[in-house]
Amino acid sequence: MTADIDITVTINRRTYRLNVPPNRIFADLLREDLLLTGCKIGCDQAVCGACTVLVDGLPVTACTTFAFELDGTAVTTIEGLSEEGMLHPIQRTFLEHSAFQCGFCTPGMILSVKALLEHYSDPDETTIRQWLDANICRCTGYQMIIEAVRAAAKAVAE
Amino acid sequence: MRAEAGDGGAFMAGGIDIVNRMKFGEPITEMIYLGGLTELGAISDTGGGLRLGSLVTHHQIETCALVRARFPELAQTWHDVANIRIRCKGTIGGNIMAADPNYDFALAAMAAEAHLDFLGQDGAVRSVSAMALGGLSAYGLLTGITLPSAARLRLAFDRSLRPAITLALGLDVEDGKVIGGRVAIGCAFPAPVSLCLPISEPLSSREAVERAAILARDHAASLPEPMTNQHASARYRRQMIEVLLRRNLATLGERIT
Repeated sequence: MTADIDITVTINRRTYRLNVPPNRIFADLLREDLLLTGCKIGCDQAVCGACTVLVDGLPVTACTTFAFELDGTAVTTIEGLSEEGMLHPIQRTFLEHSAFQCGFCTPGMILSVKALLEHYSDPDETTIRQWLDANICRCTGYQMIIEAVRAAAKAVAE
Repeated sequence: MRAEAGDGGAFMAGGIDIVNRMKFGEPITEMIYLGGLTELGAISDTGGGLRLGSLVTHHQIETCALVRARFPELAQTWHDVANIRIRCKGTIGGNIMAADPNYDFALAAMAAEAHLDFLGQDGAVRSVSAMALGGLSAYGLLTGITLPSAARLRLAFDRSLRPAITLALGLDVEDGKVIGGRVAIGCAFPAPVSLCLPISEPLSSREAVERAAILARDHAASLPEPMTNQHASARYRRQMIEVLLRRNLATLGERIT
């Protein structure tokens, strides 16, 4: 492998200048170096969605992304969703609809929903299910998540 | 750069496949990152067909207005490929070059009889038929995929039996008659497999529908032995390739006007 790589990346509105090994996985960098542990590692193969973060607004699996790929991008993790101590409307509706139990999948789920609502402001149930079909939850049974997303769409639109 | 990297070198496009291969122990010592080559991420009109840069993402295939207009079956199918995160990051070039039988874009390229452009180490560009897939890395860097004119091509994809079988069918149509066709099969063999349909004379829509069962039976019989694994036996795969091909031939045949 070649030498470490200098990158500049904005994470949750804060700019970082980092020197990373070329094989450093972004999820590991977030969790171990920046202590942003809301990015969970489940399957570690881009399947379960627990490690989802937003890169320039698009959902990305941090577990299959090298840190150097993020040079020049803006990343949002679950820690960056709330502003001035106020939960984001999606976080609020997840709470109000009890759309989680153990919470392990929730950060990835909420960030995927944020990207969904930026693509579809008023998604129907089919669209919601298709978009979230690879965010795996082993606790809730999904119905409450779907209800939370529909409520979030209304809350975000207001 | 690729030659200097030696056996441990690999091109990296979207990166999803290569990261997983490294996690499973593949000894990749040098990565040549292609992400900065934005010109390889373009979709352009070739006057009826399309040229897709090798860094075009699955999400672009799903959402690009030009793809939706020319090859609606392709755009519609790609809406269901993998998941939204992989579609946003994964590229069609990486998908082809991974040569994984479970990946889908090689099948689309084969069924469409697309041409793949490679930039060789000598700087020359070579255009290779997708039907010749296998050992493609020897050609160099994949830069683009050219799909032929949509006016004469009809495509169908059947992913209903994944992960046992995936099937892509391409029919060449001229003056309302089927003059040729190709079937590409994924998931069933160690690498994607494609064969031309034995169509010796132009078939009308009705003839194509009527001969679907015979064509499918003959095609399935001519395939090499499929794999037996935890998803399906070789016998089941061969039978279901025949069933899927018959159904899709009949459906596409009915649509020909």
